[in-house]
Amino acid sequence: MAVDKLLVMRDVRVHYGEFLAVDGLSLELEAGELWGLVGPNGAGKTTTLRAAAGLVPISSGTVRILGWDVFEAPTVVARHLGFTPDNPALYDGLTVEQYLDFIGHCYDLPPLQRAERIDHWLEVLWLRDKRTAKVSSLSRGMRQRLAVARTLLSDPHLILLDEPAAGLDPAGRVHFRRLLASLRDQGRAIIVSSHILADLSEYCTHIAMMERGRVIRRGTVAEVTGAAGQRQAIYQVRLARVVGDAGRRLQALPGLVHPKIDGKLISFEFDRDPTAAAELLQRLLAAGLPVAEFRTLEPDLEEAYLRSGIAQVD
Amino acid sequence: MSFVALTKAHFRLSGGWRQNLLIIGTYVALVVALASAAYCATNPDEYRVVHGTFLILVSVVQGGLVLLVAPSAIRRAVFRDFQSGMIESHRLTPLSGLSLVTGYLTGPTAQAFLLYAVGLPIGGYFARAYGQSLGIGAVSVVDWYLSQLCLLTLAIMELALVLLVSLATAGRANLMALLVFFGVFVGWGLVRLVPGLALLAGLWSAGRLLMNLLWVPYAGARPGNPAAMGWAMLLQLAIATTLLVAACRKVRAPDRPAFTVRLGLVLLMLAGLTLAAGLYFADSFQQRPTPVEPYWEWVASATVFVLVGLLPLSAAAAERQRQDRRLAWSFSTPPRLCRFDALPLLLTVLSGALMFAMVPRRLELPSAQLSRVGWPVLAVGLSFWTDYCVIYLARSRGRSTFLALVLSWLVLKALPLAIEMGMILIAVLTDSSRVSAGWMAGLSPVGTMVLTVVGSDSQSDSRWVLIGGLAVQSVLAGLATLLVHRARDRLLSRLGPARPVAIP
Repeated sequence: MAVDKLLVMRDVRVHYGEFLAVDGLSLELEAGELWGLVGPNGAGKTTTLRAAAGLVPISSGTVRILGWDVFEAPTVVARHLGFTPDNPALYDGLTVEQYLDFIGHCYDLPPLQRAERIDHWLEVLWLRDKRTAKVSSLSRGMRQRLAVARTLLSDPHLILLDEPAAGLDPAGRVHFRRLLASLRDQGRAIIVSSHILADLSEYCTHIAMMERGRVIRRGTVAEVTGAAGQRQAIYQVRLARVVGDAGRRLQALPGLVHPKIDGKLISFEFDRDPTAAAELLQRLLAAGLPVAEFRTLEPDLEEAYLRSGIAQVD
Repeated sequence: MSFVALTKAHFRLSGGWRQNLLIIGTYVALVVALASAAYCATNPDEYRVVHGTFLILVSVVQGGLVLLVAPSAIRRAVFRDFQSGMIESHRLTPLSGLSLVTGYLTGPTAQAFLLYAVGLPIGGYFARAYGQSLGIGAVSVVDWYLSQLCLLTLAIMELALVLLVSLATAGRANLMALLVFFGVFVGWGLVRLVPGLALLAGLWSAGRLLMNLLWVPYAGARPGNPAAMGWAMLLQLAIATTLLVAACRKVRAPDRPAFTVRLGLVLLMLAGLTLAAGLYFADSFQQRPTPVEPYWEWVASATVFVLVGLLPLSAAAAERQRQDRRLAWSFSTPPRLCRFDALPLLLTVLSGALMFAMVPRRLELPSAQLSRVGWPVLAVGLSFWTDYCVIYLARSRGRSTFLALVLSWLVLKALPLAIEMGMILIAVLTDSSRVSAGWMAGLSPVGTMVLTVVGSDSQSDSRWVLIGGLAVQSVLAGLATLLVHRARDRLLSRLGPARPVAIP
């Protein structure tokens, strides 16, 4: 069955009693897309992920993974889906290896393949030394990594991660960002719910902002932050030393808007086109400015989030 | 064989082979040591007593293992998986409902069943020795293994029930404690009231065989009714299968009722068969006259049937509510009546059929008065309809169906009976000549059954009491119907006009 969308959620509503947790949400994911789901607590992010995984019943709408309805064919869908909840479930009484072996067994992986994959993911997620340790003895970060290993062990096409970086140390977060980028580049479709917006802007291809169960803003990262469609970009230039008449020299350059000078630091708006930027750099050097660093400042996801006017839910 | 994954995981969690072999070794060593000590301390002429005592001990241990330890282990495993969230992890795997259920049945119980298996030859040895010392030889060994087979079928049904209840209540409901409580305090009374329960509880199969085996020197009798044993085992296995199918459904779809309408009806049919078989075999096991009047058996058996009927009824009401909500969200008007609404009627017909079928065995009503049974059938029909509405309302407000039903039965069915009994008690205590006419009891469908079989047609009062009670029950059913219609209208009005939905 050829399907171009890995996940299709259409007009999904989820009720908890009379409370409407997700209100008419629609979302489609293709291979290689990595969506970041952001919003205040209680916005419906976790419920959305759980509905996509078929863990909470939906009142209306449809959820399809690779064309299969998650509620009609849960065991078929399970072979293509990986989900890590915010509070991952593990068997504390088993060792790390026994636990992953059990998960591999659940997916009917042959013993040899099971052992290979366990080795691989323990290596990738820095858990090789903990192979024979009891799950109960792991730190929170290690448990989080083990939960991710559990999710990836079955080699799923669609990966749903709810607050996966919570509990990871700084090195773990960097490592995890690289892992997600690598999975994205392998053509998997991923949704990550997170409050760490700086991380999301680094590896996500798309962002969906949620409030009160509805997606109020969505698109590529550039579209959401407002960078897309803008001809101008903000540039920052760091000089090797303070130049007294830098302002005068900048005024002589055409196309620069709102130049600001703060000691060795200069910022201005200019054409976003890379060729124009390269020419500008040559002109700055020709104007005798000792340029030590030259870069564009992309609009910030955190700023975009705050600008969106999403209300904090208590 | 994917259930092996869960079996293996739970077996490992319970200590794995090393700990289990240690426990088995300790058990065997203990039995051998105790038996050796007993033989040493006893005159060879009295070995019969040692064999008999150890046979009792091993029987108790065998029963304890499969009827208490194994079900408790299942409940604990389910509870632990719900607490840790592992149940959701299982649902995210491709394991089918059957694999998960089989895993829960075999993994946590492995330790108990290993000990049970070890106990079989030990018990067999003592049974043979006991039989030889009594001069009945191998017969006692056959009885021993037969009784263990009966015990096993009973255990399978109990394990299925405990697993289903654990899955439905996230392992919080301790059914074992409830069963032990009822077994100790009201079990015998219930069994006398509902002979079908005696059949299911294994009293006429495993219990009978063990009693015969142990009390041979005193009773000197062979097992009573092989047909009853066969029926007991067959019904236990059939009910266990139905419960396991429901458990398979529940483990993968926790938001749905465990029983579909069809599965609930299958269980109801089996319940009807059990209740009828119980009444059929009761005479061959119970000495007559018993302290229980036959018409009480009729009332109690019919009430149990109505209670089991609530399972398919719940499924139908839940499906109706889901359908209404789905239609409402797609901006269509739910129909006033649909096929699910016919279920209370079907259940009434089935209850009526059972009540009439049980009449010849338990009610000595002359054929001219057979029509009196129509009164309770009508009351049961109204009760089914009211409960159908109550379940619909509970689900539409996101409340617990179980609690709603318990409340409905306490207030609408049990309370009028309790008040009636209180009034009778007061009249008896005060030597009052004014005996209650049964107006309060008439408000409850169970009371209607009682009044039907206790009252006499010649008393015109009795007829008016029944008519009055049914009128009140009709008003209650009408009120419940009105509330359901209002809930349905509210669902539609809350939605308002269709809103555009953004699709990327």
